[in-house]
Order: sequence, then C-alpha cells, then structure tokens
Amino acid sequence: MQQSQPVVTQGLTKVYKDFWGRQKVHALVGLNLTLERGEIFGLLGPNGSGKSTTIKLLLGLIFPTAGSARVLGLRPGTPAANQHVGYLPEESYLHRFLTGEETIDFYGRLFGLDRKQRRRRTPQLLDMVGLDRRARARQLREYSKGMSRRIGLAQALVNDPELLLLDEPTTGLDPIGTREMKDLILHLKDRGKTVLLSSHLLADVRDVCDRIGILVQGELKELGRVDDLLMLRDVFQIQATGVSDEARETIVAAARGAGARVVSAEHPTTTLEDLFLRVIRADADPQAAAHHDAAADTPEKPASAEDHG
Amino acid sequence: MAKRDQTSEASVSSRRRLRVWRRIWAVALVTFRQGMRMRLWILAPLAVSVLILTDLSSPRFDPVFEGIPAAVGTSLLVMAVVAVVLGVFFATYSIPAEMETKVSYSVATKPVGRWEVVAGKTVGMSILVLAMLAIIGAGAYGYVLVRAGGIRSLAARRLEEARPRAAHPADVNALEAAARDGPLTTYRYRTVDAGPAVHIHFPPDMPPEPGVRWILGGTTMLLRWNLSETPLRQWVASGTVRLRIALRVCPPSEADETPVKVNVWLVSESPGAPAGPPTRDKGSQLVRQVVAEVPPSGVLEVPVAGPLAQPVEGVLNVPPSGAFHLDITAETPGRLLGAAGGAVRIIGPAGREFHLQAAPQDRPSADRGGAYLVGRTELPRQMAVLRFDNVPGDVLGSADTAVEIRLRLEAWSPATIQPAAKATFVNPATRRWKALTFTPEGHHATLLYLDRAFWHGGPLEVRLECLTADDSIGLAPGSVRLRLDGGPFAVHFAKAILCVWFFGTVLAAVGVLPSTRFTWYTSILGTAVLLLASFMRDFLRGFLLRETWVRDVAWRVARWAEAHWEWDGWNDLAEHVVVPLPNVWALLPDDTVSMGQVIPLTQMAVSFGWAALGTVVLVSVGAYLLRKREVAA
Repeated sequence: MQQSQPVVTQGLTKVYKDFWGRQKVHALVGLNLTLERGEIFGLLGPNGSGKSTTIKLLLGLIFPTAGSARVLGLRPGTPAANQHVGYLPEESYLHRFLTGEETIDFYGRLFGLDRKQRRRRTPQLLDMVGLDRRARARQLREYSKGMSRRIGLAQALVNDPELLLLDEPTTGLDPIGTREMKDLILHLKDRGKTVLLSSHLLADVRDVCDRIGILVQGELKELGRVDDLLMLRDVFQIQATGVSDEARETIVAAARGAGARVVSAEHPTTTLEDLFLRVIRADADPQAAAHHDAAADTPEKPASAEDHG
Repeated sequence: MAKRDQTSEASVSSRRRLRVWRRIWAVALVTFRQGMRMRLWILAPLAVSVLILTDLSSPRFDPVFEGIPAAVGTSLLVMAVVAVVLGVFFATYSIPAEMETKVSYSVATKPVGRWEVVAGKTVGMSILVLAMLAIIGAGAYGYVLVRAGGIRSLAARRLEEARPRAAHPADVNALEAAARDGPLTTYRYRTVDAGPAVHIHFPPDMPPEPGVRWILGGTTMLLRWNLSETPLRQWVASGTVRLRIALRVCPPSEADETPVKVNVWLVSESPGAPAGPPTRDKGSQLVRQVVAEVPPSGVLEVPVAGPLAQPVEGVLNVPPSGAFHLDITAETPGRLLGAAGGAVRIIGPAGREFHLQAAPQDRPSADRGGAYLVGRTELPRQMAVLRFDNVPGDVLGSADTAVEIRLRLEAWSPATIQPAAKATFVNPATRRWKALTFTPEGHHATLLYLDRAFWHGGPLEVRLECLTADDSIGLAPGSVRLRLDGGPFAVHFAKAILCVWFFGTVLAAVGVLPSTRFTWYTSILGTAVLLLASFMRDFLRGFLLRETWVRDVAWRVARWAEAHWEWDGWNDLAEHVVVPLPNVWALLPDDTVSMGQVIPLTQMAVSFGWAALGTVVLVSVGAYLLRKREVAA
C-alpha cells in the first residue's frame, strides 16, 4: 500500500442537515488538501472549525456533501482503506465492559490477526502505551481519562498503520503523557508513517508537525510548513552560551551601530512543559534528571525506540 | 503454471472467507460478553424461579397425565419469554447504544464491513440466547425430574383405586402405563393414512341396497349434488324453478308413523364468498335452507328463486356466482335417507326439465378433515373408519402394539356421564377382527393394545362408534395413532429448547433490523408492536372480519381486482381479509413436546430453515440500511 500521497481531497464539502433535510451547518467548505508520505500534518482551528469533520470524512464515518477524498488511493471507509489506517478519536470510544487486553485482542481480530499474532502484539502495544499488568486486566469503565487515551492509542496502532489520524491526541493527557505521545508521533514519522492530527493545543502542533493547515469556519485559511509560517522574517535572534555581560553589551551596541532596532536582549525561557518534566523526573530519579538537564540543550530524540511492526 | 495460479487463487479466497468469519465472530463474541457483563444472566435464575412458582400454583385437572406436559409447556413458555425479552430489548439496544456512545467510531474505522457488524451482532445475540436457554433449560429439567418422581407414585395410587371401578378393562390401560413407565416416557406416533370416513353400520337385517347412497338422520351426514353445470341459475332468471328430488327412506315412512324431516340447502362452493354487496344484502346467509318432510312417495319438490330475490319461507335462492351444490341432511334420528343416481330433476319455466344423472356423494359435513359421530345404542349407527395402509413390523418393537385414541366429547349430560365407545380393529390380511369397548376420556388418551398374534405390521382398519345415545364424539385424522417408543426424554427436551433458540435468533434479527436505522427506544417500540401484531394476527383478522365496513371494502377490492386480473381466489382473499404479517411464533414448537411426543426431525429442520432464512433476510436488510447510514453525525 505504497502511496506517495496518502491523503488527497478535492473540494471536500460537508453540510449538516436537520431532520427535515434543510441545510443547517456548513462544517467544511471545498477543502483541497494533499498529504505527503512520511509527514506529520497538523489541522488547527478553533472549536467547530471542521477539524473533526475532516477526519470523519477521511474515515468514511460521514459522507461528503460535495467533493471527493482518497485515502491511500482508495475510497474512504472501505475495509481495504481501513486496513492500513489507524484512528484515535478525540475521546476513546471503546467498549467499556472489555478489559484492556480484550480490547486489543478484539481489534486485532477485526484486522484479521491470528491468535499467535494477537498474543505477541497485545502486550507489546500495552507496554508501549504504558499500561501496566493490573490496568490491562481491568474493564475500561474503570479507567481514568489518561488511561483511556492510552488504550485508545494502542487500538489505533494495532495494525501498524500506514496512515494515522489523530483527533486531539494530547487531550486529557498529563504533561508526561503529552510528551510521550509527541515522542511517539515523531517516532512513527521516523518509521515512514504519515500522521494527520487535529488539535487546538498550538504548542503541541508546533513541536511535532511538519506542515499545518488552519481551518476557520470550515474553510482552509492557511497551509504551509510550520517553520515558514512561524518565521518572523524581520527579526533576527542569536542564541549562545558563555556570553559575558560586556560581550552582550558589545553585541547590542554593534547591532544598533548597524542600524538595527533591538527589540529584546535577555535570557530565553524554557517551556513550562520542560520545567514540569524536569521537576517530575528529578523527584523520580535524580541521576537521570541530572543527565537529562545536561542534555537539555540538545534536540530530544524519541523516548520510545520499540519496534511497532 | 495455470494450475498453480488456480490453487493460489483458491487459497487466497479461502483465507479471505476465513477472515470474514473471524471478524463476524469477533463482533459476536464482544456482543455476547456485553450481554453477560450487563448481568443479563440474572434473567436465568429469575426465569427458573418463575416457571417453578407458576407451575406449582397452577391447578391441574389430572396431575398424572397433565403434570409433566404442563411443566414442560410452562418451561418452554418461560424460555420463549426470555428469548423475546432478549430479542426485543438487548438486540434493539446494542447497535444504537454503540452509536450513541460513539463506540461505533472505533469499529467502523476498522476493516470490517457493515454487514459483518450486523451479522456479528445477530450471531452474538443468538449465542447469548442459547446460553440463557441452556441455563434455564438445565434448571427446568431438574424441576421436571423432581415432578416426575411424585407423579409416578401418584399414578400407582390412582391405579389401585381405579382398577375395581373401571367400566371396561381398557379404561385403566393409560394409568397402568403411567405407573409402569413413569411420566417422562416419550413417544413417536404413526397416524392413519386414510380417514376418518364416516359410514353407516347397518343392522344385519337391513342390508344396504347397491347403488343407493345412505345417510343417517340426526347426524351431520349429508347427500350432495353439484349443480354448477346445470341450467338452474339461468332458468331462475325467467321464473320460479322447482327441484324434484327422489329420496329413499329406511325404514319406510309407512312402517314408522313419523315422517322423515329433511333440510335442503343450496350452498356456494367458495366458503364465505360474498353473495352480493354486503351493504345491500347485509346479514344474508350464503346458503338458503328449506325444511321439509319427505312425503310417502319419497319425491320432494322445492321451489328455487333468483339470487337477489327477497327470502321467502320454503323457497331456496341460488348463489349469485361461482360453483354451488345441493345438500340434504336428515333430522329424524335413527332413520336412513338414501338417493341413487338420477334422483334430481330441475323443472324450469315453460315445462323445461333437466335430469341430473350424477349420483350423490354421501359425506359427513366434515370440518377440517374431522368428523362427528352421533351416539346410538342400537343399529343403524354412524361409524368412522380409519386405515393404516402398510405399517412395517420392525418399527413396532417386540411388545404388544399400543393404539392411542384421543376423542373429543361433544356432549356431557348427567345421564351419560360415562359415555361408551367401541373400537373394532380389522386385520385385512388375516380377515380377523377384534372389538374393544372403552370409556373415552376428555383429558387424556385412551390406550388399547393389539397383541402380536392379532396384528404385527401391514394394513390395519380401525372402526369407531359411539355407543351412548345423546352423546357425540369428535375425531380427526390424528385421533387414532400407533404409539411407538420415542427415546430419551432429555434429548427431546433439548430439541424443544433448540426450537426456542431458533425463535430467539429470529427475534434477535428482528430486533437488530430497526436498530440499524432508529434509536433504541423507537426500535424497541417498533419491534414490540410487530411481535404483538404477529402474535395477535388471527385475533386481528377475526376482529376485522366482524366489521361490516371492512368486509364491504374487501368485497369492493375483490370486484375491482376480478375486473382486472382473472383469478378464482379473489373472493376467498376478500372474505378472509389477509393480514400480511409473518407468524414468527410458528417457529416455536407447539404442544407436541408437552404432550410427551417427540418433535420430528423434519419439523425441526423446517423450523431451522425458516429461522435461518428469516435471519439472513433480516440481516441483509439491516446491513443495507446500516451501509446507507452515517455512523457519526
């Protein structure tokens, strides 16, 4: 199922109608979108902007009013297309009376995995999403929201999908879970998977997405690479360590001397998420935290290196 | 190379089919788990308690013969109710609940077809119903075993009391069998191949004349002539017509002071076919009856008028359309009335005459293949003849053959509180006969034994007579049966439960169908209404038939249809007011099990076939509806 463009939509439109067939809401208007293989694409927008509608259309959960969509070259929602797609809904809509293990086993059966494959894959996935042995044997109705998101992610990955559709993937997760989710998404990208995620948590999108699209009232208002879209072309920033106060004043004076208007010259701040994680890790394992602090300036690598295949 | 390709294609196709079943099974398993974890199993002990309490609190007229059938019947009824509850409530709830909780998002985005989901749901419900029935069935079986122990000892006590008081030795045969074998014995039955045909048992000094058909007065026997091919209907249009009927009376009226009174009828052959617009001829009978006395000459004359003429005492009216016939019954008890070929002449206007050469048919006014025998202590007497054509000896076993006779008593007067009947068995092969007198029972079968020396296979004729005056007994083809060993009770009980399971599976499919389109409460309501309508179909029809305006509309529709499409059945359709609802309740076993009788495998196969067909159709329609539905809103 090698498709260079896993998702292609042309003029995709969805109008919700009321009981009498009258047009009620224009949820999506003429969406033209193409995803490249191996990229992470973020759909941004306020509530009701059409993010979830787009994902549901790509999954065949609802039918377009106009336009068309192809998923991995196939009509959305067909069993053939779904065979290579993973989907994490905005909330984990799973059978609440099944245990964690039974849930993964059930979805494994739907993907046609035989007993041997399911026995191997189920603990692997549950380990990966961080559900311990006790949690696996409990029914989902006893799960916390975070645990529900984790089991939801596990079921989305049960078929080692080519294309992952994640609706608000970090909603309901604590900062550690959020970080792990982002790491996992990046890891999937490394493995050549294509990810389409929707979120209104802009920092999360910025951290993982290659490209983003911004939907407003069902219309795609902005589309492009994250770096390009976020770049402030008239501002220049230098980040360096070991700069003395004198040297800093010399640099600022040099900039002014060159005709630049200095907007700010101060120590950069870290993100609240990084701070939180550092505190939590220091409490759990001081040595590892020290090591992590030392490496804080270098780009992070995916935390999980497990084989998903 | 081509062969290898074919093998490879077959292997891929087989793997694909396996995956389909695996997915259906996965959905079914989850549905079953859902049901069990919703604690629906609580229904099982509840149902067992209900059936025990219901059975213990229901009074039985005769516990020896009715105890076990009633207990089994109650068990099956309770199981059917559980199947209905599961079918209607859980099946209609499952899919809409998944839609509402959005679990369907997770399932529908997997490589599983909508039809696989519907099929899986139905299979899951079916397994759930089976599991419940197995638990209830085990409880019911235990209860039946306990009841059977008590009934056997009761039968032994009753036998001790009944033996000295029995009017005929054969009267205690059934009680003896119950005390000896216990009430859990099951039987296979062999019903008659022909009959009952009602004849007259003539006294030896009154040999029947050849060529004359005879009926007995005071019974429902009748002489019948088909008049459809005669010019009667045309002739009545131009004036009054008379029917001249030459009858024979035996003994003749001269010998007996009482003249023979007869009823003469003209009857339309389409039962209930409208005789005219009901609004114009409201309440009219489809037949016209004339009561007359046969004169000493034996020639009876009856005037006949047109169909829409005002009814006049002593004048018959011709039915307006369709085939019709002339019937004559004799009212005077014990007198014989006969007619030979050529007995009927139609005397038309202007001296025209039509001579009907056909001989009359002598037949009881049989209803649905049954017959009534009017009792008389003396001959001539009515006699029902039933025949087994050729019974293989190897099915009869080594013991004496038991013949079970179940008669319906039509009259219970204080004078004849113990009616008597006679069964005469004739072995045509050996020309030997054996007569047994017995007291027919209203609430259980009478058992008569034929020893091996008299008959062991081959043809057998059974003649039944009612010996008590003022009594009558009713019988049908199934009233006389050979009782053969039926095997273990438990096996047949399990077979009955399987039939309930088929019924439950269809109900699950019925419940799943609307739930693919509507909310669970709408689905429950719709399914419940459908099931109720199906259950009350006959009642509904009866109710509609009582309404004059319904009959009027039906009659008009039939006339309109008749004008457009040529078919003989329009009148029947109009008269019976068809209610186009499948009777899903027919899948339940009738009281054959509760009467200790074996459910034939053919009946099970038919039940299974209908259940499977119904389920497949319902699942297909449900899958189509679900395919057209957006899972998310």
